[in-house]
Order: sequence, then C-alpha cells, then structure tokens
Amino acid sequence: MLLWLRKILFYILLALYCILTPYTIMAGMGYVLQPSSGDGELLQKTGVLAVESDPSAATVWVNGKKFSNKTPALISELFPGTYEIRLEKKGYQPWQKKARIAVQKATRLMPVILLPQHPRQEIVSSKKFAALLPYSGDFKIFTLQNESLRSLTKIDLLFGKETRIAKRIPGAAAMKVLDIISIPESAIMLFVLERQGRKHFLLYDLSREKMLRILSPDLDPGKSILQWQPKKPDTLYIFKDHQLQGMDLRNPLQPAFLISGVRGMGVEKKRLYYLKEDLELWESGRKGEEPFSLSQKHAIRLDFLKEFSDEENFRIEPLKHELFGTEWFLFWTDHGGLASNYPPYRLVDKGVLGYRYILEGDEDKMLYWTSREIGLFDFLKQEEEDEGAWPPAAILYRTGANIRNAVCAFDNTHIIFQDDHGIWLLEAAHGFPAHVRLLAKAAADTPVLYHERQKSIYFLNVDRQLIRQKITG
Amino acid sequence: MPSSFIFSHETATARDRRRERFFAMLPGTISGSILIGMTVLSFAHPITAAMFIVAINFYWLFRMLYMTVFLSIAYMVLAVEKETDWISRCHLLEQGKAGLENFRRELPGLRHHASLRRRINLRNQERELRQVAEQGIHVPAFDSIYHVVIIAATKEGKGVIEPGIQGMLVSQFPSSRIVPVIAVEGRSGPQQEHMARGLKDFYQKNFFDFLVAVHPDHISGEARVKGANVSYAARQAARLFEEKKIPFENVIVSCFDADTIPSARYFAALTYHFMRHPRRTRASFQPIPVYHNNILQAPAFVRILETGSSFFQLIEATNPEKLVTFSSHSMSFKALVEIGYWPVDMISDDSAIFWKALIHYGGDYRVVPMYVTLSMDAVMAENFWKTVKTVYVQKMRWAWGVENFPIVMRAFLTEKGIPWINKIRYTIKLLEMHVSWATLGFLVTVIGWLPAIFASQEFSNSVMFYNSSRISGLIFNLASSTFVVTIYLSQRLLPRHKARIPPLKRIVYALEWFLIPLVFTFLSSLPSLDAQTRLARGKMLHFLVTEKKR
Repeated sequence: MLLWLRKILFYILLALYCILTPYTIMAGMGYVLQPSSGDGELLQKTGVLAVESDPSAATVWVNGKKFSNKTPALISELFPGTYEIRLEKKGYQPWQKKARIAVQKATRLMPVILLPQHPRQEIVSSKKFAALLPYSGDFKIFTLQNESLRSLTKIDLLFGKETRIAKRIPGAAAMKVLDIISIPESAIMLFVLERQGRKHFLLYDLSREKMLRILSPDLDPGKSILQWQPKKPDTLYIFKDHQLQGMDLRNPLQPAFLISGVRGMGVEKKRLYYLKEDLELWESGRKGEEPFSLSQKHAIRLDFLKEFSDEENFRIEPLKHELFGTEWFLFWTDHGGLASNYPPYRLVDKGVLGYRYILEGDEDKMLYWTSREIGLFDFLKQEEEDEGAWPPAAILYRTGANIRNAVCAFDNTHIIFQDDHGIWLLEAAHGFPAHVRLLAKAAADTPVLYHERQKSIYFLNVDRQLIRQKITG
Repeated sequence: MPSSFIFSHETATARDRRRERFFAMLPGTISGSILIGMTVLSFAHPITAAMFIVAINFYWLFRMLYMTVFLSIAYMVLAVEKETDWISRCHLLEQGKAGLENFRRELPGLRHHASLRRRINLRNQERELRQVAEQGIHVPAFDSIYHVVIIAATKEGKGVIEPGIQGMLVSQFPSSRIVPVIAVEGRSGPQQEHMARGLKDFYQKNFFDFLVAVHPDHISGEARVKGANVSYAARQAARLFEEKKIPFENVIVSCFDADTIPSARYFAALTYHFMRHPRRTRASFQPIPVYHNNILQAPAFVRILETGSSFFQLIEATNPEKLVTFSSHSMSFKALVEIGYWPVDMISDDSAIFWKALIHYGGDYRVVPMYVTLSMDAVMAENFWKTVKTVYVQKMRWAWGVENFPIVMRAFLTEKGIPWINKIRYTIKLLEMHVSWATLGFLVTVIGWLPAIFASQEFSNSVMFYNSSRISGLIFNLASSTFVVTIYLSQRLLPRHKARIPPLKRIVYALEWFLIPLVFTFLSSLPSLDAQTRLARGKMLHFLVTEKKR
C-alpha cells in the first residue's frame, strides 16, 4: 500500500510542481493571463508599484480604486501606463501624484512623506535670536542672540539647556560679528569680527567648542575665498588676487606659504589642489609641499575652462577617486558656473549658489541649486555608453524665489530648501514632476537646519524664535 | 547466476579505470557546477537566477512535503510496532497455516478493548501470517536461528562497548543463540585486545560463544578501514559455525559500531523479519538508528543533526524498493559469505555491502526495513569546537558513500543481470541523493538570497526583484508546516528516561530546530560537498574514528 501511496503522492506533487513553478515564475516576471485582451495576446506583461510612506499604514488609491494593502504596499499586475496614485491617512494631508508603470519594471515611490494636517511646531527657545549658525551636530544648535560674539549660545536639543560658549574667547564681549563663513559639513566656522574698527577672523570649532585661531590678516572676505579642511584644520587658505596663501593655524610663528599665479583652489583632507593661470591643475601637501602637476600625471584636460571669463576664479573639489588615478574634479566659479574635467565639461553656466555631493550606500548623486532652480545629477541613472561623462542634470524645481539653502533629507530621497516664501520639501526620487510642499514660514536671513534622526527642521520664525518642526510621524 | 564483478576501487583494465574516474568526478562536478553556476548567475544575470531560485525553492518545498508525509507514516508504523511481541509472532509464524488459524481464532479476543495501535498491529500480523501461508514460504524453525553480532572496536573502551553486550543479554531473543564478536584492530595495541578478552571472559557463559578477532595489520590488498576489520571477524565466525555444523542460512549477522546498544526487542524483531522473508538469504535488514545513548547531553546542533539522520532513515524505510543499508544493520550470513564479506578497501562499508550484494546477485537483493530502533552515541568531544570538527568529519565520512557511485556505475555498464529500468532508478537515486545533499542547503539558505542582497540597480528596478522575495516568503511559510511536524516528531522521538524531561527543556529542544538552516548547510551540505570534491580530485579519505563521549 505504501508503494501505491508513494506513487500517487509523487505524481501529484510532480504535477503540482510542473504547473506551479512556471506559473509562479511567469507571475513573478509580471506576466498575467488575459484571454480577453484586445490584441489577441494571451500573456500580457505588467509592472508593479512599490509604495512606502512615512508614516506607514496609509491607504493606497490607484486610479480611484482603493487597495486593501496599506503602505508599505506592493501593487502588482498593473498594465503599463500612467496611474493616478493617492495616499491617505487620517491626520495627514493626502498625497497625490501621477506615476508611470513600465513593462516588467517596478515603479518605486519610497518613501512618500505624508505631512500632518497641522504641522507640529515646538518653540525650542522663547528668546529671540539674531542668527542661527548653519551647523547642527550631536543634538546641538548654535545661535547668536545679538551681534556680539559673547552672545554665541549652544542649545542642547535633548535637555533644552542654553549655554553661552564664547566666555573663554578673550575680548569676546567687545567683538562684533560681521559675518559667519562656513563650508559644507564642517563644524568649523570662520567668524568675521570687528573690534575697535579692526577686522579679526576667528576660526572656531563648534563641535568641540574650541577656538582654533584668531587672525588679523589684511583681507576683505568678500573678495577672497577662504578655505580650510572640514575636520581638524591646521591651515587656513586665503585665495585672493591670484595668490594662494596658507596660514598655519597651530603654529602662529610659522610663516604662511604663498603660491602665485593661481586661478582656483580646493582642499580635501590632507591634499591641496590649485589651478594655475595656464589652466594646469596641481596637487600638493596641505602646506604646499611636494607639488606635482595632475594635468601632466593623469592627462587631465582643462581647456574648457578658457570659456570662462579671466576674472572668474574657481573653487575646486575632487569628487571620486577611482582606481588607477583617474579623478573627477568639480570647478565652481565666482559667478556660479559649474564645470568638470569630464564631458560635457560645462555643467551649469551660472548662478549656482551651492551644491552637495552625495556618495552614501548606493547613492551617487550631486545636488545643486541656483536662486531659482534645484537640479540633480544622478550617476546611477547613467547609461553604460555614457560612463566617463556626467549624466544630464535633472531639474527638479524651477520656480524658486531666491533659494538660499538646500539639504538632502529622508536618506537623500527628498530635498529641503529655503527661499523667500518659506521652507519647502521637494521629492527628489520619484520621477517627474517632482512634488514640492510648503513646510513652514521662516525668517528670511537665517538657514534651516535638518536633523535626520529626528526627521525635524530647526529654523528661526518671523519672530526670531527658534522653532523645531517635526516633518512627519 | 552470481556475478563475478569485483566490488573494489582496484580495477582491472585501463578502460575500467577511465570509467571509474569519470563517474568519480561526476557527482562533485554536478554539485560544484550548480553552486558556482548559480552564484555567477546571481551576479551576471540576476533575473534568470531569480527564476531558477523559484524553481529550486518549489522543488525543496515539495520534497519537504513529500518527506514529511512519509516521515509521519513511518513514525506511526514505528509507534504501532513498539508494542509488538516479536517472540510470539515468531512462534506463530513457524506454525505455518496452523498458526494463522490459531491466530484468527484468538483475534476477536485480542481486539476486544484494544487500542487503535494494537488493532493495527494485530491486523498487520494477520496479513503477514496470511502472506506466508498463501505464498507457501518455508519458515525455518525459531530454535534453529542464530545471531552473530560483530562489534568493530578500534579505540573505544570497555565503557562504550559493554552496554551493547549487556543489551544482547536482556534481549527477548535467547542469548544462548547469540555470538558476539569483538573485532579489534591489531594496530590498536595490546590493551585493546586485553579489554576485549576481559569482556569475553566475563560474558562468554551467557552466550552461545564469544569471540575476539584481532585483525592483523598490513594485509595485502586491504586499506585501514572498518570493512577489513569486520570481514576478518566474520571469517572467524564462519569457522565457528562450520565447526558447530550450523548452516549459514540459519545465521543472521549484525554489524554494529562499538557504541551500538540494541533494544530488547531488536533481535526478536530481526529474527521475525528474517523468518518470514521469502528470500531471506538475499536480504539485508535495516533498523532505525537513533542516538539516544547521550542525545540529551549533546550540543543542540548535534541533536538536530542526529535526529535528522534518524528521520532520514525513517523516510527511507517507507521506500524499501530503493532502501540501502546504513550504519549498524543486519543481513543473512550466507549472503555475506557468498559475496565475499565486506569490501576491505572502502570506508563506506555499510552501504557498499548492499551494492556489492545487489551486483553479485544480479539485482536480486533487497533491504528490508525494520521499524525497530538501534541506539548509538551522538558525537560529543571534549569541547564545543572539537565537537564541531568531529561532527564535520563524521558527516563527511557518511557522505563518502558517494565512493560507491563510480563502482556501481561501472558494474551497471558491464553486468547484464540487473534490468535496465532498475539500473536507471538506482542511478537517479544515488546521483540525486548526493547532489541534493551537497547543494540544497547552500541553494536555499545562502545562494537563494544573493540576487536580492547584491541586486544591481537594473535588477532592483525589475518586477522580479520585488516578487521573488514575496514568493520565497510564501514558500517558506508553506514549508513551515513541515517544520512544525518535524519539531513535533523530534519531541516524540526523544528518549523516555526514567526522569521526565522538564517542560522548559522541551521548549528549548523544540526551538533548537530554528538552527537548522545554518546547521544543515555547514555541517551537512558542506561535508558532503567536501567529500564529493575529494572524490572528484582523486583524493581518498582516510578512515577516522569518530570520537564519542558519554
């Protein structure tokens, strides 16, 4: 009897295997049986829509049809075409967008940020602040209550404690802050100060609450490019009038080094890069030691820089260091032009106010903004034949009103930017048109800070109070 | 007519050597190609790899379902036959038709107030008696049956061997017709022989006789394998039976490991199956190995593996047409002598003896499953890592059964006696068993996830990327039903000691089964792959005694 049972079960399972396996594979590839299709094809190819939202458990509507799955949802067997996608959740503004479903492809909408019906704003400090410094790290924010350096305050976001940190700076009370110069992703700020009619420059490490150096060089920060290493700087670079000067921050007695005939400079970790007037790119140690020509060593052609005016100077940033020495460099001019040593060479003609290069995990993109638009270069979307060249810029947003600041948020899927009309949330990852929504109104002349872990923004409102607004969740 | 094929790695002609080499490389090449191919495909063409992975997962699921059904059936049979009075069955059997009539007369009374198991047991007994009567099977007298039990002892001490001998003493079968033979290796030293002789002197009076066979070293043509040792011992036993004028066809030989402890019913059950088999001198008898001697003290991964091994034998027992002997087992002594004893140059003597007999008798040889247990030691060494290493080596030695494949294939190509359909069936079974043993663990646990983990952007934007993880999840959920059955049966199979296993410990024993993906992959599939690769490369395995501690 066992033999018969064995045979019966074997053939049943074999039949099931022969039926289920190809059916499952075909379904997995996006094929559906459509006997009644107009074109006579029995098997139709479909795509899927993968939606994630923050917060999750939002109801998904596709072309007016409600799906039982809440987010995170995978909606399969969608025929190619354009669909109206809508997400709804109680207490949150509905979100709506057209999405294109392609054959055997997954269209991803992740994450969709749902904004609360009533934004949750919290007054962090009821005091009024003159300025908010463009740095937030380890749950700390730094502000100036007034133009005196002495009013430099650290606000602990966890415990709400406010501490004046400029007490140890000699003469802080008498120093007036004229300007604050920062570089992206650096806790080190350069304060342009005035005391008794004389300018001073204070390099201060906010993360360690430590003064690095006070200098009094004769320079006009408006006409100079000031640069330093983002972390633990030991040299301050001053680039002015085609001269690059490096001042040793740790040893005041050490004379500054000088390189003449320079049209641009950049510094990264322990290396200094500078562009000579003959458009040859050089690299050296951070104090200018052991220079060598990158243009000759790696055959880097920079002839295209001739297209820029002789009066324009460049900030140089090395981007990716690939094997065998080929390097990508970004050149950012005084007038906001962006160029690279890879085709198409000239990336943006003018007007770029800032950029951020994102190389994290599987992200490889560069975000830039002008006063009106926000653009994105996504290297992962490059076609194979275009490797060795910049991908075309995707303009995500065109109608900004004096965009001042932009940061990536929500694991680089969104962009938070600030212009005259307020603080905005722009989708960067869902294809076009990119959704943009107003988050808050803020004081015009101060930056917005984004805290990834808290999913919150910090800014000064029109009353100059420090506000924390949780974007979602 | 018996075949003259020599079942050995020593081949006569260059053509035979080429054939053997080809077939030796085949299982390892297939296994390696599958694993390497799927890995490369996962990176090179992940969508195609995902399709194969769905097919593999479905194969695994249906295989699990199939095996679980038969595992459940086998366990039920094991449970039913636990209460069998084998001795009275033997006596009824030897009465022939009269026995059947007597039994039928007593049946209503026996059924009255009997449990379901007992009723099934009685029905089986009635059916077997009827078969014997109808087929006119000549049943030898119970009192004419003898047992010779060969215990291979290389390094094991008295503490390991003696319980097995005591198990024979308390057997339901009269120990006065049992001949234990301790097979000792001469190279193990005089203390081993001294230990064996000490046991003989103490226990001899309880048995028909008690032999100690000291296998000399460096016999030409022999490798340092257990088969050579036990074959030498069997020859000593043969001389004994010849002297005592006991016909070989009335003798059943059992080949035990040193740590084997037969249950009280083992020899009685074996005798019954031997007596009722129509071609008893063309049969081996395979019990269910369990590792109850020390399974509760062994580490979790050892417990899972050994229980899994018991389960495998239970499942195999439901397919007697393709059953192959494994570990401690029994067979007709006449058959053993006729085929020339165990191979003396092969490590896998337990399975090789079956193939040798099958080929010798032109396919007229079977293994009879017995739903009765033989208890052995689970692997336990001084510390955890040594135990891991020892388990690995033991599994590799078990997987070395693949060394039979080239010899069997060579025989199938040359010997005409076995029908082609059976040759094909055995070939598929051998190949499928070894290849799936070496590959399934890796495919399901590791390689199956590679496309998703290392997904290129092209793949992560495809429909298949999203659906493949859903499909795999669904398959694993369906397979979890088999998992539940496995855990339940593993609990039922645990030894019933005088002291109850506390409920908390039972929960821990059940939860241990969640280690199965890791344990099965690295301590079952990997040793199997190792063995096949060695065979493919022509590197022979040396016999290693498995360390066991109690």
